[in-house]
Amino acid sequence: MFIGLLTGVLLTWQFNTEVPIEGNFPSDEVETREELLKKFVNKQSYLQSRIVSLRKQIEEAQSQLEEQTVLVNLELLESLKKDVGLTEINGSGVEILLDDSPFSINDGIEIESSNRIQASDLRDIVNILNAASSEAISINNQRIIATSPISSVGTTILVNNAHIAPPFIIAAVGDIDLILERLLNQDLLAGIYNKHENFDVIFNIFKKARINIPIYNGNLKVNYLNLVE
Amino acid sequence: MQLKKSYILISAALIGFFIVIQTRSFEDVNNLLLRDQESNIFQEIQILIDKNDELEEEVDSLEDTYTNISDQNFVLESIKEEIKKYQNLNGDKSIFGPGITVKLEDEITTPWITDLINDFFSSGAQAVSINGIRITNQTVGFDTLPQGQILLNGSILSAPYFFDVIGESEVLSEILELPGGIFDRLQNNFPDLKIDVSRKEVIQMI
Repeated sequence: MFIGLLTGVLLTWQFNTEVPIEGNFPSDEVETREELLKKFVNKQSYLQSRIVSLRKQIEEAQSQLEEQTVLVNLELLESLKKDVGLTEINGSGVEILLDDSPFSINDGIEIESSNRIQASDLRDIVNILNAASSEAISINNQRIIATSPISSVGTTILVNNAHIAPPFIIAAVGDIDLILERLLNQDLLAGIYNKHENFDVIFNIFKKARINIPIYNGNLKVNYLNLVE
Repeated sequence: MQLKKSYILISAALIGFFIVIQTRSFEDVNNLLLRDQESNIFQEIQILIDKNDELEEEVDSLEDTYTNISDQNFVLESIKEEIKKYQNLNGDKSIFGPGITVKLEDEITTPWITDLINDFFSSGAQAVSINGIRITNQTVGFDTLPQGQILLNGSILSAPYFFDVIGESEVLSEILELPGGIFDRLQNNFPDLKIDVSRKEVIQMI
């Protein structure tokens, strides 16, 4: 009985046992699999640390952005640009035409400096226009600001270091009556009135309902200026 | 008797056979009931690939966000610099810098003052003040009162005139002191005029 039972168990176990097929798992396959997995896991670790690092960088940049947004006031910027002459100004005002005397040149030769408009004449008129609280001034479309030099080199006149030639049109936006009151005062512009009356220099003033003064187109150097904080 | 033994042997073998079959079927059922899957390399790799793809997408998105914020920071930084530059110029805030001071001891006329200030700026001055009043776009021009006094921004100016000029002091003084330059011309027109020029490390303008 025991022998029969043992024989049945052994035979059946023998037939039902699956024998692994030789060569299905080569000896280095486990190693290859580990390496492959390691590669993907390493990449995953790198990507995760990159995400953490980027999130930190974003957080820092955002806090900087917030700090700067508090300091940046676009309305202030616009107001400052207007103050320094970097916005166009339109409005009513006056235009002044200044030109050399037709007799200033004889046979192509300049004969008399008093027949010509000089840089000092332009400076005097600009000063009068400023004194009359003009909002904006230009000479031949060169915006005049506080630091604009009006100079001469020989017979050439430079405004904002740009060459300009006669006829000179000085435009000013502002209170027309106030400006005219100053411009028509011969004591304030004695030099020009004298040239106009005695040497035929052209000096005409026109009221204008609409004048366009362009923005300042020169450089604004501030490398020697420091704000007192 | 012999036949009986054979039956017993065959019966015992069959019982052994059934015992083994039963045991194996229990093993299969146990395997079905296991909570964790057995190791599958392809599935593992596929999961890792999918996960890494998702992480890469997140990295790309975060990099875009960071670039965008950095650009905005750059723009805001430029605006801030621009504001500071114009605040240096518009005259609302106190400034300081190197330069020269010029003192004219005697009275001169308005056109000469405008000429002198013009020459300061054409010589490279970046800020000028006269008797403490800074010349900016907000400053109204020089007026001459009937008695010949000079009026600026509602203040009557009188000698001595003190000019503060911020800029490169060496260049400024060299240009202004050139023969035929503005100081020469002033001296020719006002022979008794005393002009004092000093270079300064720091000049402050309010």
